[in-house]
Amino acid sequence: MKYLELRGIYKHYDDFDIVVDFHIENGELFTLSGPSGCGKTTLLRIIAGFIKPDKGKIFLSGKDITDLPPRERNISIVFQNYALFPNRNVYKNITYGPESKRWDKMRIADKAESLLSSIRMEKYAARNTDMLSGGEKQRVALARAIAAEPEILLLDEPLSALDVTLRNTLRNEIREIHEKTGLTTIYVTHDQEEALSLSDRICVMNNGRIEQTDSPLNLYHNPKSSFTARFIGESNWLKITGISDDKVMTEAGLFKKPERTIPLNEEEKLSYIFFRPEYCEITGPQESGPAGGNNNLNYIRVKITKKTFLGSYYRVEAQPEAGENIKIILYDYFPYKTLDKDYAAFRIDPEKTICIT
Amino acid sequence: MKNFIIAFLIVFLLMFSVSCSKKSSVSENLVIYAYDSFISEWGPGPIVFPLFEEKTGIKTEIVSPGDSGQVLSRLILEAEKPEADIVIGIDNNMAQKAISAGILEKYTSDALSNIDDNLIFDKSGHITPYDYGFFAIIYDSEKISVPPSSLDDLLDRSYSKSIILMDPRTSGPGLGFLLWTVKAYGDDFTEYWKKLSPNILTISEGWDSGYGLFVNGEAPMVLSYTTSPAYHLEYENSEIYKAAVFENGNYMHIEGAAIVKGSKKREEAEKFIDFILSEDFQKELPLTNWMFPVRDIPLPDSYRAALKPEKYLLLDSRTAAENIDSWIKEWLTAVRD
Amino acid sequence: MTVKKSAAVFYSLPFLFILFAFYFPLANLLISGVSPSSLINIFSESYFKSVFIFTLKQAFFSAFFSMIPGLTGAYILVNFNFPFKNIIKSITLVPFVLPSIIVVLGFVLLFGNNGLINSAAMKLFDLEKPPFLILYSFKAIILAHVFYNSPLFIRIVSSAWERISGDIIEAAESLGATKLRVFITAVLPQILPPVIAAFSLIFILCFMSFSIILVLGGGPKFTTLEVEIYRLVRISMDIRAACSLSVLQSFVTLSFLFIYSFYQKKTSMIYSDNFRIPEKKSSSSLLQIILIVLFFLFLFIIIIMPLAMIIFESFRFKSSHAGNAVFSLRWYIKSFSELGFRPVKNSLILASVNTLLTCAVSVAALSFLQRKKTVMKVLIETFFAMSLGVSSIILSLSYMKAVSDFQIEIQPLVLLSMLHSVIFLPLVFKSISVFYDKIDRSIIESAESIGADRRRILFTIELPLVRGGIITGGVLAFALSMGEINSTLMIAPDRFTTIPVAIYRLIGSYNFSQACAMGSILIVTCVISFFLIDKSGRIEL
Repeated sequence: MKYLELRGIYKHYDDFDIVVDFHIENGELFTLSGPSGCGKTTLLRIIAGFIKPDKGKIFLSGKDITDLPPRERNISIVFQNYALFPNRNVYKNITYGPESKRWDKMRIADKAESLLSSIRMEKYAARNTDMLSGGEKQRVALARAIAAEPEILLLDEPLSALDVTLRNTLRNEIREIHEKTGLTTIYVTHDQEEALSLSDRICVMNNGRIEQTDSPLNLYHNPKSSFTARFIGESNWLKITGISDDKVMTEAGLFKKPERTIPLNEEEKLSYIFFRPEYCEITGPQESGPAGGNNNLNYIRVKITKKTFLGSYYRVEAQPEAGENIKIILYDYFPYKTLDKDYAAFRIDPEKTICIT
Repeated sequence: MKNFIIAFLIVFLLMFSVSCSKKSSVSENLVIYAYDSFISEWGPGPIVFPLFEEKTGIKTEIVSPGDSGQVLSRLILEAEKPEADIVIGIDNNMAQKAISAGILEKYTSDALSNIDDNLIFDKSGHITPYDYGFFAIIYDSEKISVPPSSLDDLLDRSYSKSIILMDPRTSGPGLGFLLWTVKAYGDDFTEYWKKLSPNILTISEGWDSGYGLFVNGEAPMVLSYTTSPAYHLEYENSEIYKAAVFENGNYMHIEGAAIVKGSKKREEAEKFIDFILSEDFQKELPLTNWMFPVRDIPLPDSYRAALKPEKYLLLDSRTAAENIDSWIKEWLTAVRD
Repeated sequence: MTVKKSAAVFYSLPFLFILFAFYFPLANLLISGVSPSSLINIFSESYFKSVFIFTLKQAFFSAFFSMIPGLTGAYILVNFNFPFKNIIKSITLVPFVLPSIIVVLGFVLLFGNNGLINSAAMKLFDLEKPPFLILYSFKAIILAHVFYNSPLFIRIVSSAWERISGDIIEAAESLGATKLRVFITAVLPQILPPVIAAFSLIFILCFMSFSIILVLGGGPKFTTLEVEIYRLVRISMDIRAACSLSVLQSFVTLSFLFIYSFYQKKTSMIYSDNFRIPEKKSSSSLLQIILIVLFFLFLFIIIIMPLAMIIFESFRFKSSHAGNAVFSLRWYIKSFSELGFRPVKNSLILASVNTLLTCAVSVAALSFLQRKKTVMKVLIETFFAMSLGVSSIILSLSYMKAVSDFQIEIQPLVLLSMLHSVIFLPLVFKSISVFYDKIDRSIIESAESIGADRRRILFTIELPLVRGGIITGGVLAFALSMGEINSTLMIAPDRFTTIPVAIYRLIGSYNFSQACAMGSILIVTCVISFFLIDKSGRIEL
């Protein structure tokens, strides 16, 4: 069922246009991600009703809400800067929405109490908002947004003003609240770790357009555009210098031609072999000669320039014979002591490589 | 707070809609425009208007649109749809402007025959004079032992920074003094002002602040009327402030009233003009308007301090009207150098 | 839908008001014949240029010199606690309400050649001539303008300064910044908008000043454009030219205001989410003590003393000119027996209506503007501020003409309140807009997204957040309306005597001491009113 649907949305700006078309399922935690200036916040504000699109329609459970003002949409929003009402205390902030909707007093009090306990701030009810820490403020903002029982919750970079530990805690809390309430949530972030860990689906935006909408797993392992491939996660891009029917020549070595190919939507007219750092398997120490004996496809021979032990894995930076450094992540490093040496050979599974051209 | 603001807005709108309606008919009353000090609590207004109503049974409605300049401005603005029947306070300097603007009607009261012909400054028969006075330098006799007796005397070096004058652009007496110097020196009046400059302490914007400086002892001489000492005698029993009467005469200031063109109450208006020449009206003027009445009637005792110069100066009101703007400009260049 | 409609009605009210009460009568006056020829005459005067330059110069210096004690005063009021703070705050605003004639008298009684300072010095050192020639010079103009306007500066800046988050200051301090650095880096960027707002307001007020400049400056050497407008109305009877010059003057003042507003909008984007009142200091450094002492000295000499001289004078009575003055209530008794409480009552009614009306119109307009883009905002703000530069004599004339042309019967009192509101709206508008600019858009949007309609947002979020501005603006409107004289004289209904009108009439009939008594009544009425407005404004909404 299409719960929220954006049909042919178009908004013109001096420096770029927004052209989108997508839908969100009921109960989904949907993330809008992309570099800053890609239009994700604008899109969020279009959904909230603060910006009117030039063209297109927005439907919420089948109802056209394009022309409704924000307060009639039943879509709450939480901002990065908390935007708490400085003239009201914690409790009064939370009850603002229900009061606006003229609930009866008992219901408002029940709601406020249950929310205060779910964000573990029962004791703070009478506090002024300026006495709270950043994390507490964002919890109150979140509680305030869901108190009015919206149909959709919008979160605009809610965690980016907080420090790392707090961010992780709150991320879990948001996930918990989402699971508990089943509230359809749209989350805007430029932080891909946040996007990958939280979302049911992620929509990657670039320059006002949607690059790809998919599950986190698919986005990571099966990017459909070179932008998504570059934007999500770490990756290696080997420049292709020659190509035949079944083989591809790169600066670093010879590869089997990947089955998957995605278009390169960048200015330069080059082609690449794309793979993730953790796709590399170590095959042994190699100081000279072709890597991997007679079948030397998909083998690269490198000089190790930097290696960092990170407990569960090794992170390696290595210099192939020619071309740019490649990043390697090794989980299964134990059988080999080879990393003590300066040189090593790696194999990349041909199934996992992608040709970007 | 919330309800309060809403209630306030409603009340205001109501008040507004009730009070704002198309004027149904012309006022029942005789509408009189006068300058503010005339109608003020300490002016003649509160005495003479009730008296007029009592004597004639004609109800009056008094409106004051400010000082005499502002009264005339309003009349000119309303020329096409006049509200007023009578205007009080058109002086000899403004007379020509008012007559050329075509806002006055001619009326010659029979009572004018009782009045010195020299005081009837408007020969065209529009404006009826009711009082007059003479501009004069008032001096503090404790500080000035030998008072000046001519405009030339004011140039004496010993009077350095001793005179307070008023700006002719913003004040009636200020304009009067400028015309005085024009009358006395003709085209050379700017020369006179240049020589006078070192003796001027300040040129105030209005008579009130200038005279205020004087009574607070800022300077021993101030521009005012010859009647000013009478006030101090009447109310402060003091004769230290004296008016300097000049040998060549002091400049005269005559105030008049007129019927406004378009008045629907001609008959009542004529009665009012006759009234201002009556003794009842005239006898109130010395101690309320601080001017000499135009009728030759006994003056209060304190008026022994209010000197009437034997000679007086007065420019023809047409010449004055035509040249005031350019004289002010010449004056400005002279005093700003 | 009904909510939407009522919102539309609500938001259109300020526009209707300003159109009806300002643009319509002014246009009616202009339309009947602008007279460019007389304007060209004025411009071709050789002295016009010097008048114009002088007008700008004195306005700039007046604003600048009001800023120095203004900033110091705001700093002290915000950072230190001392007894009678609110009373002192109320007293500092009194100069603002006084008719210029009373200010001149107060100054003359204190600084004049025969004033307290000079006569004391003459007695003390046995001098023949007054040693301090303070008045009748350019510095006297500046002195009087500082007297008039530095309290306004203190008001506007301190009310915004009070709202600067303590967190930011303490954060800066904890990072090891010196006091000066804290001020420059953490405080200054945030108080810059109100400082600019106050500076521009004072600039414009001084730009239009004229009686103080003529009397205390010593004559037509110091002349402002406003004097020319008066000449055109009073002497030349060329109302159209006066009107054109006035509109022109308004454009000049507003182009300054426009530049300031635009700049101010830019600086006010600084966001402060952590609002917390910083701790008031009880202990202070030597430098701070010196600063406080200097400020109180300034307050005493420049502001309190001229006022005190007026009050002192009002209790003096000489039975004969030579006799010694004795303490007497004679002038007060005379005032009340002649006038009763009417002037006090009338002044209070007029000032209260004006206060409520200007605040309501400003809040409605600003609440609407808040949702608009910057350029649009500045344009509409200018639209509302236009009346600031138009001289009150012109506005009064335009009212008279409109009433006469269209034969509208409006109660003179309603007309007068409207006129006062139009004249003072820009000031109130400005002091409230400083606060509106500080409201973060996301706060309003959060409220909207959780279902609050505009009215609820206005009353529960916006009004409480701009309360400081409403108090400041309200006090200003009240003060200015209490002291207004020109348009009151021209428009007021028959026998509607306000306190300043009574003062004007008293002086016009030689009663200087009684005028001082009326002036003292005005001072006391205002101090009490300011105190009450301040107090009632702080009650939780």
